[in-house]
Amino acid sequence: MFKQTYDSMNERLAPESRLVEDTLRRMADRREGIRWVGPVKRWRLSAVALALVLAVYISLTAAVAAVPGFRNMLLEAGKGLLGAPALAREEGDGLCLEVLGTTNTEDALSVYFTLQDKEKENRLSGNMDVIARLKLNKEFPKVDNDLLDGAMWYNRVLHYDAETQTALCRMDFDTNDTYDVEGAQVKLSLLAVTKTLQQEDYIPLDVSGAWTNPKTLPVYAQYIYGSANMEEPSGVRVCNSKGAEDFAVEEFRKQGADLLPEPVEETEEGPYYDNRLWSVLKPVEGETLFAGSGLKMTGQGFVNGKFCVQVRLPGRTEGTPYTQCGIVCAKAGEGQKTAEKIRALQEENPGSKELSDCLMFKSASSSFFELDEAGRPIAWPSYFGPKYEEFYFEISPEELDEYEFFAMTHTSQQAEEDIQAEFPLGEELPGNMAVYGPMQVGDVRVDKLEITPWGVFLSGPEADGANYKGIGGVDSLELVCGDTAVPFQRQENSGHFQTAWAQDGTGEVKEYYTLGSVEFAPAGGQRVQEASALRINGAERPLAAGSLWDTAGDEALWGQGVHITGVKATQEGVCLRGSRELYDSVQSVSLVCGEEKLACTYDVSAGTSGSDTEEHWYQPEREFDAQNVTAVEINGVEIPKASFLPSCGYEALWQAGLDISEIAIIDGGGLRISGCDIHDEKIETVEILCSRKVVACEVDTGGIRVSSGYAWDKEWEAAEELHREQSAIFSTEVPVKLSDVLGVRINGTVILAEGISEYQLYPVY
Amino acid sequence: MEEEKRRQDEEIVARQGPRVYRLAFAQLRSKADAEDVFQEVFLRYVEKEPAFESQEHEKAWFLRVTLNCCRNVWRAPWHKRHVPLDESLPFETRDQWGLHQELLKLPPKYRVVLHLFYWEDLPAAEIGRITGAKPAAVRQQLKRARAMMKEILEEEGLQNV
Repeated sequence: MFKQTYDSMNERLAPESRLVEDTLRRMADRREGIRWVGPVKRWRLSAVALALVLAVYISLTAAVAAVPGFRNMLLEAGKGLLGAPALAREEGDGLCLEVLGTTNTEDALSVYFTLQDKEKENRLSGNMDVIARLKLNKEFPKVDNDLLDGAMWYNRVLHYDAETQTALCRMDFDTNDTYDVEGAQVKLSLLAVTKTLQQEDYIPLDVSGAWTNPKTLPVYAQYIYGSANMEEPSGVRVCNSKGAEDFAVEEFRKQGADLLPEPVEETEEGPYYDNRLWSVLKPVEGETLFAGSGLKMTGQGFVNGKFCVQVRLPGRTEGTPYTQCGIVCAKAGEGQKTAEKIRALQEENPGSKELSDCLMFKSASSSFFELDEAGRPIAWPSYFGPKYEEFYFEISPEELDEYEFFAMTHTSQQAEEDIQAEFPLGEELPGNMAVYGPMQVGDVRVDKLEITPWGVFLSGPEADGANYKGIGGVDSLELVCGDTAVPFQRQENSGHFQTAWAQDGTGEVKEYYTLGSVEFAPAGGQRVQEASALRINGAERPLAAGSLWDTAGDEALWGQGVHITGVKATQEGVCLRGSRELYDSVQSVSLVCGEEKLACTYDVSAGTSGSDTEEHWYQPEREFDAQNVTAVEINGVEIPKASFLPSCGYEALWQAGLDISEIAIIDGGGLRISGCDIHDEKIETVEILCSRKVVACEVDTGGIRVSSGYAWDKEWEAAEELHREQSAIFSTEVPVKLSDVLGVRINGTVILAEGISEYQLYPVY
Repeated sequence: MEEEKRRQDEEIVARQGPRVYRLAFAQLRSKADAEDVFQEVFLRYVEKEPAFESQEHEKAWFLRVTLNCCRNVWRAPWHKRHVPLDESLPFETRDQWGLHQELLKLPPKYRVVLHLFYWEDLPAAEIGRITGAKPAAVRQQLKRARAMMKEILEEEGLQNV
C-alpha cells in the first residue's frame, strides 16, 4: 500500500516546462562560458546577499570578544594530538597557515586549520570569508564525484582570537562514506580572504522628505524576508516559483500585512511572468551616505501604509572594496544610543535575541532588486552588479515623527592569497567527545548538547520571534568543569552546520525544519569534555546522565567489535559492562589521569553477569586517585569521563539485576527507561517520586522497544542481533514535569533526579 | 553545432530530468529546493561532460550527483535560516498529501533509501553504490525507515497508506 501511494505521489511530480526551459538556457550559457563566480547560485544571489547582510548585522564585531586559548583547547581535546606539532605549517605574505587536525565522519573529511596574521595588519576577522581549495592525492576507484578533483569552498571562521589575530577555520571534503581517504596526501590551498576595511555604526538618515504618494516601478519578485507581525516566526523565502510566491503573499496577508501590492500588468518588454511582479519605489539619484562608498539612499516613502527606505548598493569588481548596508529604526532621539547598544551587544552577546530585536525594531521586511542600464528590472541579479535594497517598516505616515533611522555599513575587500600546505592523513581528532540530552535547564529545554573538539553545539526548540533564529531563552551558557565555570559565546557566523548526515540522522534533522540550533565557540584552556554541569542563564543541570551510546568513542569501539554498554572508574578500578564477548574483544584498558596513563589488567576476582550483559573489572598498575581520572582508554579508544555510567542509584539497579543506563521523563506524561537488559518481567514497578505525590507508571502498550545493532550475512539477512540499546516506555495517568521530579523508583530502587533527563516522545521535526 | 548540443541537452533533460527532480524532491520535500538542485545537476553535467558507458551508468551518475547537490543545499547557510514553504504541490488525494507531510518527519537518509528502493526499484547493492553506504547499512536503513514510517503513519491515522 505504501508503494502504491508513494508511486502515485511521484507520478504527480515532474519538472515544470518553465524549469526545463530555464535549465536548457543555462546549460547553453554555461557551454558558452557564461558562468558565475564561486559557488554562488544564480537565483540565490539575492538570498545570499541578504543572509550576508544579516550575518554582518549580527556579527560585525563578534570576533573582538574572542576567548583566547582555543587552540590549546583544541589540541587538548584531541588526545592523540596532544603536544604534537601541527600537521602542516606554511607562511606567505605575512599569513601563517597551520593545519591542526582532521576528522573523518561517514560523510566528510574535515580539515581544521588556523590562519594567523603574523604582521598584525588586521587582515583577518571573525566574519571574513576564507576561500580555499582541498585536494586529496590518492588513487580512488572510478567514481563519479567531481569533488575528487578538488573542492573549493567559501568558509566562515569557526572562531577568531583578536589578541593573536588568529582564525580557526574548517573545510569539508565530501566523501559520502565511499572513499577510503586514509593515507591520502592532502593539499590545502588558501586562495583568498575577505578583509574588513571600514565599519560605520551610525549614519543618520534624513527622512523628512518621505514621499506619501511615491512613484513605483514593477520588478521581479526575487526575495522577501521578514514578517508583518514581529511576534510570529517568519523568514519566508520567495523563489522562482509562482506557487511559493502565492503562498508567501498569503502568509503575509494572514499576518495582517498588505505588503505586496497587487500584481501589475505584464509589460511589453522582457520575459515577465504573470503575477510575478510587484512594485518598488522608483529610485532617484540620491545622495551618497558616506564618502567613497558609492552607497546611496535612493528612495523613502510609504507603500501600502508601510514606510520604505531604499538604498542603492554600488556594483563591484573583483578585488575592489564592497560595502553592505542595513537600515535600523529607533525611537526618535534614541538613534545614537541604539547604535551604541547594538555595538556593545555585538561584542558581548552577538547571538542574543536582544540584539536581534534592536536591529529589527519595527522592521517588516526587506527585499532586493536590480535594474539594467536602461532602468529596466533584471530577472536574475548579477553577482557584481549594483543592487537596490528596500527596508520596510511598520510605520504609518502619522507615526513617522516618532522614529528615526540610521544606516550601518560594512566595507570589505577580497584579498588574493597563495599559500599551500600539504600533509598526509593520519590520526584524526574525535568527532564527538560527549553528548547529553534531552534535558531541562531552568526554563530552557535542550534537545542535545554536544561537546566536540571545535566547540559546543546546543540544539533545542527555536525561539519565538520574527527574526531570531536560535534556541529560545538562552542568554548565557557555561560549562562547569571542576571549580571553574567556562563561559561560551554564541557564534552566529561560524558556518558550521549540523547536518542530518552526521550520526544517525534523527536528531540533527530536526534542526533543519522547525527547530533552531545555537552554536557556541570553544573556550580556552579547559578540558570541556570533563564538564560536570551545564549552566544556562545561571540555572545549573548536572551532566551525570551522559549517554555512552552517542559518543564517537563508543562508535569506534563498536566498529572494533567491542560492544560496551557502560564504563566507569571508581577507587576500586575500571569497570566495563557489555556483551558476553567483552573479555575476548577488549585487548587493552588504561586509566587516563590528565597527562598520565595507567595500564590496567583484568581482575579475575571481580565481575558479575546480567542475563544478557557482563561486568568486568580492571586494575591499574599502581594506586591512583579516582578524582583525577579524566578518561578510560579501551583498545586505544578514549571514553571521556563525561560518558561514564552515572551514579545516582544506577549501581543499585545493577546489583538488583537491571543494566539500566538512562531514565528520562517524557514530555507529556510517562518515562522512558533505556538499557541493555530490559525485559517486561524484570521491571515490576516503576514510580515517579514528585515533591508532593508518587505517580505510578505502567508499561506502555508499545512495550519494549529495541534499537539494536545487527550482524548481517552475505544474503543481507539479519544473522545476529547484537544487543545495543533497548528502551521501554512507561505511561502515567497524569503528566509529570521533570522540574517536579525528585527521583524514580524502579523495583524499589530509587534513582535520584540528577540521573534523570527529559525525553520528548514525539519530537517535532 | 550549437543546435546539436541543444538537442542533446533536451534529450538528456527529458531522459533524466524527472528522475533528478523526483529524487531531489524526495530528499528536500521542497519544490523550490528541488528546482535549484535540478538546475545544478544539469549544469554539473555540462561542466563534467561525463562519458557514460551505459544507460545504467548514466542513471547512477545523475542519481549520485543529485544526492550530492541535495547535501549542499542542506549545508548552505541560508537553508538553516529559512522555513520551507508548503508550496502548491500537485498532489490530489488525502493519502498523497498525508504521505508527503509524514515523509517530512523522516530523516533524509531514510527518505533516499525509500525513494531509490520503491520508486527507482533499485536493489540494495545499487542503492549502496549511489548513496555510498555499505549494502548491509542500506538494508538496515530500509528496515528502520519502514519501521519509522509505519509508526508515523499509524500515529497520524494513515494506516491505509
